[in-house]
Amino acid sequence: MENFKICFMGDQSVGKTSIINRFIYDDFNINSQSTVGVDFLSKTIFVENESVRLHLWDTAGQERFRCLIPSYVRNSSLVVIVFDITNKTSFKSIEFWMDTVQNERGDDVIVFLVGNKTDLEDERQVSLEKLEKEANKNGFLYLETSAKTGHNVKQLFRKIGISILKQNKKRKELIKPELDENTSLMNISLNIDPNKLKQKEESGCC
Amino acid sequence: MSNQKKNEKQKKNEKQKNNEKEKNNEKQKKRWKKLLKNWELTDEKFCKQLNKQVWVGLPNEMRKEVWMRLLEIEQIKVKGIYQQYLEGNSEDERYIRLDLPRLGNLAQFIQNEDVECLFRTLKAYTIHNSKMGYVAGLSHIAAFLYSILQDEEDTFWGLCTLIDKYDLYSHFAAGSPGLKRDIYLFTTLLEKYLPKISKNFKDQGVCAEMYLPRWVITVFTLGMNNFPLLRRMWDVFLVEGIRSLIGFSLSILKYEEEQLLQEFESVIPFLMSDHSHFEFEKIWKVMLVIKIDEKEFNKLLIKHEEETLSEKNKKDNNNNNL
Repeated sequence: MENFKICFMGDQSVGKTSIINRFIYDDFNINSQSTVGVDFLSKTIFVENESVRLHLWDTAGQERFRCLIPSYVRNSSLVVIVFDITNKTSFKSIEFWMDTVQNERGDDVIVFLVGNKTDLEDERQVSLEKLEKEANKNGFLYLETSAKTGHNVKQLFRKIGISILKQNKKRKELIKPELDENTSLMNISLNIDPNKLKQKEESGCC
Repeated sequence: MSNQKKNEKQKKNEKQKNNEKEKNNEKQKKRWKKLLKNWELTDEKFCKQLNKQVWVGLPNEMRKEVWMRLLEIEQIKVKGIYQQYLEGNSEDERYIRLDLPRLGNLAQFIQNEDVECLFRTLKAYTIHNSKMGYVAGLSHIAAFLYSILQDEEDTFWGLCTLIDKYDLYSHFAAGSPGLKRDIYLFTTLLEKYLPKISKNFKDQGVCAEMYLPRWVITVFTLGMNNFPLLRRMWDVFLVEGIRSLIGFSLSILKYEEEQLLQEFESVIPFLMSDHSHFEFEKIWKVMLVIKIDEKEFNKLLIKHEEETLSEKNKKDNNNNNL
């Protein structure tokens, strides 16, 4: 089974850990322990008759540890940027998190914008239209959730699974025609710039 | 042997063990009392004795007194300053309030009425050091320190020493240069002392950024739920400083070596676990063996500083050329 790396980011206490906990344990703890560095959880889901193993990386929200984000975002198939719909500042920060992702990955990653805490409708500061506009501007996927009530959380991960599978198929199809045209593997390996390959190997972890 | 006799023998053995423990404790107390009497951190011989004794043990009932000395709390305390800070306002109050109920297992040492004390300590600290402000993880450090010192003002001054003299500031400052340094030191030493684990981690795509930050940033107050062990680790940390954190991190890996030679999904949960299953005697032995030599550590530190500086110069030159 193939596994895929999903990276959660966003400001402090917007509910990144809570969304993941709701998904994995179907549980909500209003005072989940604050995340320092990063946390990891994994789960297998079934979408469109295929099983997909998700590796979830839950990163700390504080800006000064931004230097760590690149090593978390590296090799991830999808990034989830979470904000709190009752907190305007956390919505404004989307740009900041996006820059961080794009610095590392360019456009080579699927992005999901998630507005959390829909259970606090009375305190809402960011409308769904605003989120929609922001997402469409950049070609991102979007959804509103409540980790507290569980609203849309399953849906979120289903959508994540579907878009990852889609992208994965696209990637495989991109490789296939080349194989057909060139018929021999030799030709393909000649197409690869050996310097680039070396760089990639060396960049390794940190 | 009849059951009764067996029980009697067992009881006798236990009694003997307890007696030995008590004797040992008394011996250690005497040694620490002597150290406290002759306290002189500028004296090399004294420091050697202190360093040796801190690994042998520190009786629980003396911990507060020794930590107060190590953190130089009475020395740096200025009367009235703390109270002055309490009257001010901190921009970070919201974040402190958010984080205080999120202490995880540390919360068992903080009574309800102590939460306000901790809030005041942290608020005062963010006013005292507004450049740094509140950082996630600081509440864990403060709570653990408070659980030993049992006084909010002392905890405040203790935090001051930890951030300045122990250079925890390097972790909390913008861009976290201390974290980069620790990742470099740790990764270099991991390759040298635990080559099998280091190789497997490389093969599996496990890097230090995934597990080391929380250990060093919070001085293990997050990620180590074996509290008697955590106290002993802090005793050593307060004498040896950041070097000990790198040694502890390597020791944790060594302790779990067998599990850490498996594949990614089996490795990560061990690294993210709270290590509450650690047996003190066993892990302490590992820590004693892995203890990192001061000279070797300092050499690596200098190398890292030089590399960082030359990288910075290169960047500056590039910027000037643009």
